[in-house]
Formats: sequence, C-alpha cells, structure tokens
Amino acid sequence: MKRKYLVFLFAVLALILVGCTPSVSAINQTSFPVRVVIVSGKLREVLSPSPGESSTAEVGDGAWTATVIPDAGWIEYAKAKRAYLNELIANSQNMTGQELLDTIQALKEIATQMAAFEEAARGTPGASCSGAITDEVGFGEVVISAAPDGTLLASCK
Amino acid sequence: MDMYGPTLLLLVAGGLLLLGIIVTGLVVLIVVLARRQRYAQPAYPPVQATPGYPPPGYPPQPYAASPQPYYYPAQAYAPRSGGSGCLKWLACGCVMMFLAVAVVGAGGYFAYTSGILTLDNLMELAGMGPAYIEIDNFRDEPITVSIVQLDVAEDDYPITAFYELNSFDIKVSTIGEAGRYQVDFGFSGGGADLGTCILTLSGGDQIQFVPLPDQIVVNDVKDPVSTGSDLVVSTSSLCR
Repeated sequence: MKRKYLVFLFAVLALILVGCTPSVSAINQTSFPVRVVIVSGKLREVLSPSPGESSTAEVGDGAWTATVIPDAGWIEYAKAKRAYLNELIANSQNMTGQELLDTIQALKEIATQMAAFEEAARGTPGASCSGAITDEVGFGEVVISAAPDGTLLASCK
Repeated sequence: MDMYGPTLLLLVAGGLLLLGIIVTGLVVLIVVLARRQRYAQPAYPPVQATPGYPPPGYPPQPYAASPQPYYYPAQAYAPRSGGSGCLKWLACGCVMMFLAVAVVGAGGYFAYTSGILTLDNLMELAGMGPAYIEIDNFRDEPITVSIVQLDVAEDDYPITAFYELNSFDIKVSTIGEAGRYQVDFGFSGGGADLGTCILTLSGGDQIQFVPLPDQIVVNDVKDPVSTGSDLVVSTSSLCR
C-alpha cells in the first residue's frame, strides 16, 4: 500500500517536473526500435521509443540536437561494454591499480562512444537535426521515420 | 524557463553595466597617462640660455659702459593648455564605450535568442553551475530511478526527480541545488530494490551510475574514485 502511494506521488511529481522543465519528445514513426541521442549542452540522453510511441528527454535552455542511430548497433556496443565492466568489477574489493584505471576509462568511454555514434550518423543525410529551447518555445519534438530504402530520418520541430 | 528569462536579462544588464564601468575606467586611465606623458616629455626641446641684450634699464646698470652681453635665464617649459585634448580623449572614450555596449548588447541578444547563451552557461562560467547525475542503464530490463533532496528547509519543498529508463537507455539529470540527495534504483514498479545511494552534491559535480545485472557502478567523473570498493554503490564512500 505504502509503495503504491510512493509510486503515485513520484508520478505526480514527475508530471509536474515535465510540465515545468524544457523537454524534447522523440516520436518513433517507424515499425522497428530505434535509439535517439538527444544532446543539449552537458545533458545527453539515449532514448528508445518503441515503434509508434514516444519518449521524452529533459533538455536545458538553448540549442539541442537529435540523432537517430540503429538500435542494434547501440545494443551490441552496450552489451560488450557491460561484459567488460562486469569482468573488471567482479572482484572490486581487491582491484589492482591498473584494473581500477581500466574501469574508470571504460566508464568514460561510454560518453565517447555515444559521441562517435552521433558523429557517424551525422554522415548520413537526414539522420540528425537540431532545435532550440527559448523563452517562446519551451519544448521540442523530433519525429523519426524511415525512408523507402530503410534509411533512418530525423525531423525536428 | 520563464523564471530564468528575467534573471538572464538582469545578468546581461549587469554585465553591460560592468563593461561600461570598465571601459570608462580605461578611458580615464588613458587620459591621465596621456597627460602625464605630455608633461614628462615635452614636444620640443627646452629653450637654452641664449646671449642677447637686456631691455633698456634692466637690470640696473651701475656704470654707463658698453653694452655687455646679457644672458636671459633659461625658460621653464610651459605645457600647452590641455583642455581641448582632454575633451577629445573623453569624447573618444564615450564613443568607444557606447560602441562596445552596443556590440556586446546586440551580440548577447542574438546569442540568447538563438539559444547559444544560456543561464546554465553563465552559471558554469561563474563556477556556480548545476550538478549532473548520469544513469546508464546497462541492465536487460527497464528500471526506475528516483532522486530526492534530503536537506530541505522546513518551509521548502525537496527537489525530486523520477525517471524510467529502458534497457540501455542513458539519462543525464541536472540538479540545480547543492546538498544531500538520495538516489533510489528499482525495477519498473518503483522503489529501491536494486540499490540506494545517499550522496552530497556540489555545483559542477558529475556523478555517473551504471546499473549492471549484479551491481551498480558509481563514479565521480571529475574526481574518479581511488579504490575498487568505491566503484560499487553498496560499498562506495561516495554513497555515505
């Protein structure tokens, strides 16, 4: 009972926050899963809107960029990274200095890899778009669709 | 964001005022230095004592004798009147100040309207930026994350955030106020089944959490941990 009350409370608070915080919604109009990277200043999110659904990212004031990347590529990378981290962390109490450095480096590389995916997607025409949060426009929207040849396209509003 | 607008404008106005004061100060400094320079180095060499004849009856001549050469005393260099030069400098300074304010104002307005300049940018430049909490969900199922501020004044509301992250989603959350926070990780129903971290956040901190299938990794991006046990939420000194 208490747990349900807490979940309800958090949901209400989340709705209030979403109402006040600048946000960008990613709408997946394709029939398959996609990953959308939304970057706004230091805020960087990877969303996975299901086909026909949308996900929302919190952004800051100012310019934001949305890049769509193939879901399979991201998951493949993330699983490999997870296996590596698992291996390093397995014996965290007795880690050597080198293992510690490797772990910290692996953690840092997640952001680097995200940027690499974005960079690669920018080479694909239409896979990336941008917008801005201003006093007049407090939210943004990116619509993901697929071209007839299967190329992912992002359109920002 | 509406709350930020007037604050940002106030900051920009304050910045312009400060710039105006600085430019005016520079102009006054330049004028003073220029005047001192002019007094220290005359534009033409001082007049040397030169032979000549005294004016009639001066100095008194005790004897009527043939006129003797008279040496006029060397004249001290008299500076030219500086009134018009000073005004010129001041006028130039004023024009420079107005131009600078106009350029900065127009640039600031363009940067703000185009979204390049934000309150967060300015706060970060001043070392008062927000803290960031990054959550990389490397589990195979969705999770929930709740962040609640713990040290809250009696008449204030705590800062809270609640997120649902799908498998392999990444979320970076901004925490605008320094203090103690409780971060709960749970399955999609909510709660803290996966783990809890109570940590102290300061402006500019970047804390990274990576929930893995067996444990949750935590790291301070700017000041990485120094022992293996600090990398795991259940044993980390960051979470105490």
